[in-house]
Amino acid sequence: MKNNVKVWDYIVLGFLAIFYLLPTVMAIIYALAEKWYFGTDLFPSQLGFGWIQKMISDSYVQTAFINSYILAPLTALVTILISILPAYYLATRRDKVAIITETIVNLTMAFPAIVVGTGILVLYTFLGLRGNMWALIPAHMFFAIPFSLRSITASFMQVPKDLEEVARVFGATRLQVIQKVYLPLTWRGMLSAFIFSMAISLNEFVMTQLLGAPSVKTLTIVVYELIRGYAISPPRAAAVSLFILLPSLIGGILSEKYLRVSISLAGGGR
Amino acid sequence: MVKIELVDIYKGYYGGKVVAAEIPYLEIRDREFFGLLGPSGSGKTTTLRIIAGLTMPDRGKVLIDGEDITYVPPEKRGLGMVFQSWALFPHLTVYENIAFGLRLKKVPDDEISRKVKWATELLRIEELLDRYPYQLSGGQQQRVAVARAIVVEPRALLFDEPLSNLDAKLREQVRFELSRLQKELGITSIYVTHDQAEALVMCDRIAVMNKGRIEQLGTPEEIYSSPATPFVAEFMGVTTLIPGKIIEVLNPSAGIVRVQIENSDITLVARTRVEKASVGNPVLLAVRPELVELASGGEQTNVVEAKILASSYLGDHMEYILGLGDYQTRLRTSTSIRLQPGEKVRITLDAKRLFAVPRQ
Amino acid sequence: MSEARRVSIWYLLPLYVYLAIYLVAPLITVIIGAFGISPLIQGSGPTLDGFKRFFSGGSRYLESLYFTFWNSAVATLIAVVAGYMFALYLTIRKPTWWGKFSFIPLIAIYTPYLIAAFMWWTLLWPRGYVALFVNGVLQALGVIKEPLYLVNDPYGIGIILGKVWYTFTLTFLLTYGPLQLINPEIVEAARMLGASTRTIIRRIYFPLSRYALFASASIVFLDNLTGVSVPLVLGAAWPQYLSVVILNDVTLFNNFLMAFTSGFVYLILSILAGYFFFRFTTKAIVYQVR
Repeated sequence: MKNNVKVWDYIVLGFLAIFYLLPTVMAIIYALAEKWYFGTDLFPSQLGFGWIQKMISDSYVQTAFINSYILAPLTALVTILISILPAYYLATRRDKVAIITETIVNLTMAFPAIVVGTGILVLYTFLGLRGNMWALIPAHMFFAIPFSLRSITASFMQVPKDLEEVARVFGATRLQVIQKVYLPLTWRGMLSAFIFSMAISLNEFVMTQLLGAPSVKTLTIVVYELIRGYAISPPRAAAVSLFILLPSLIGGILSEKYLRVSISLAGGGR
Repeated sequence: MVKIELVDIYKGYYGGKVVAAEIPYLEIRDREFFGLLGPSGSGKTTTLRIIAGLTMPDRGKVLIDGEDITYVPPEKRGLGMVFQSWALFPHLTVYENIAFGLRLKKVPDDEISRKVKWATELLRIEELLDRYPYQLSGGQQQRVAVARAIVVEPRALLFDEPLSNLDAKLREQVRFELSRLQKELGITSIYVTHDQAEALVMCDRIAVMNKGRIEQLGTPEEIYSSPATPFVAEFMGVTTLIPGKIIEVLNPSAGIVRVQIENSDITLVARTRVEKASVGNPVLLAVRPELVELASGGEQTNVVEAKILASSYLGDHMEYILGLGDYQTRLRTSTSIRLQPGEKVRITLDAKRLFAVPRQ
Repeated sequence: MSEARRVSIWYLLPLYVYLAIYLVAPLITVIIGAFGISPLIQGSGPTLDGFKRFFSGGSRYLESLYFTFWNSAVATLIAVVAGYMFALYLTIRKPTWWGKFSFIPLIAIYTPYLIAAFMWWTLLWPRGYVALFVNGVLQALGVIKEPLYLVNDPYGIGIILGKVWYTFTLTFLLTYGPLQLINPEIVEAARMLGASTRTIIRRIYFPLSRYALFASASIVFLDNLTGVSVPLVLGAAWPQYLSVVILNDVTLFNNFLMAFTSGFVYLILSILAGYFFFRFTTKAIVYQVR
């Protein structure tokens, strides 16, 4: 009787594995498929790094690559910086203002990106910031801030209050307390917020499409153009996808293993 | 008639490296309040869970009145259980908690109401019916847990250290109540605890467990005054074990022997297991404070010299740490006698109660 | 604790400044733009034309709104039910492989939306493996004669699959935690009282995790409702998600009036959904504390 049930366990595992790994594998196959006659063949007839090499050496893609990987860490950095002081407030002072602030920040996730993006487009048109790469940073931050704030606030909440009081007794100002007590102790929460914010920025499509056009291209935009734009080419799209996908997945594995990111983001820290 | 038997039970982990429970045979009699006593990791909870059906043994059988229930799932065994954390359903009122088992049996509402009333009166929690678990104190929650288990009239009751989360005073009070309740209901009960005082007070028979095996099975008196192994002797009471050897058998049928303490001239008269009463057998003398008294001068046997090592005033009595050669034990006197550390005294050990535990 | 010096409320300033510029201001421009007031609209002046066109019978916009709503709802239902069942399965059966393979569902979380959509497109287009397999099986069973279109199709099957991929994991993550918090002895107590597994799910697990379930359903629905990448890549030429319609109005047709109007309607819809999310999460937290 026991063995019967165990078989079901493995069936579930199998289904799960196929459901999640198959799409990932597809991206890799497409990228490596130098020759694939879709009409007749089930599998590519020739595998190789041809497409990948082509895309790496393509200057258009290279620019997009650089843009993506400059925007991501900068977005993450600014997100964290902007979150520190508010997180300190939310962690130490649990009053009505704190609760209202948290609610508002959580509600930002409810607003459709396309709508907010359209609004920002209007503002940027006025300010002449369309097509400006640096102006994309605050737009990318929009979706990173709720997660980052929650993560950092949760980490700050775990710092024992006594430490702050001791530091204050020794004459530290509040800013010094944050700098010397909270930040060093919560580097894990900060790091996971950083990684997740980077992931969000790399993923970002709508904001970049609306605000970056026509000059700023990120990898995500390039992938989109290769799927639905003028020159549709799945293998090229797959190859470029790998440039985002692989670092994302590796970053994900590392942060799950060492930082248990998803648990803290699901609010498990509370 | 509810008799529970365990036959050739074995449960191990890590490929046999850890033996959680190994019991060749155990019988719990009808209407008995049976104790499984031991330190953590001794296998007592594992054994209870095997009886409950929450843990499956690697081999062996569990029988109730001769019926093999080893592979019967817990929900079909008809046993009641009270858990260490009481495990009340947080989203249900006290009434609904207690009624839970009855509702599962599709008992009609008016009968449920009657039975819940009966159980709550028995446990004296009638006024708590509308409350939720988080509104109750520990003692109240524990009563609700017991009410919930008995209201379905189970074949037997299993208790997994239900009092360990209560404070000491409450624990003492509840011990008596539970014991009285069990006698009133006449339900076969198995009680797991690490507290030897609890087991002594409540149980008809106790199995002392260590590292998955039963070291001794007997009445509280047998376990306390005639421990079968050094482990049992040390676990019960405050015991100092002094190694020695039997040098003379004074009364073979009663097991009275004379024991010479290792590396010493001192000999003491003690009682041992009748079958082990032979000259040359190595033993451990179980010296406990209640056996030690100041020698008044009239005694003949078991008078020994000892040194006071430390003294403490405990309000109603004095307690001294006594040095007996290389070993230590305790002496209690009334507060009118004040001895000083360093003083030499003559003490006597009650030969009738001094027990020599057989050593392998 | 010294109450004398409290954390200054100015500490929240950076956050509120950001929100003022990047949330409030944009939303205001959209809202007033819906009424025709915007420099980006030709012949601007207050008007209800946008709304008239949006809500006129048989308008593309209404059709799109309807499609967006029910397609998101179906995707939400599938993901939430499956995700919750998976969380229950893990809690009850505790399969041995979970320790080693728990990263598998997380792949979806760390895959960018657009790329995930593309990957599913490669599986669902007529020569994709999933399409071939499903159509092969259905045709062999005689259920269909012609192969089904699983992507870029008018029912949004591809969209649903693409969304479920990510939101299944999301639901599972949001409900697994609360399920784990339930004292296992409660489940054992229920068993000893005679409860079968089905009863335990119905009377113990579900009541104690239902607010987490509803909260995750709200968040998943919101995410499905407002996403752009997945409907863009996996959707058909028509019907389209409202988000895609807006994108096209802005980037292709320069029709800002309708873009603002649609945005306004979109906002109302998502605020409503967000309100429910908020209510359920607070209830979920209070329940756990008990």
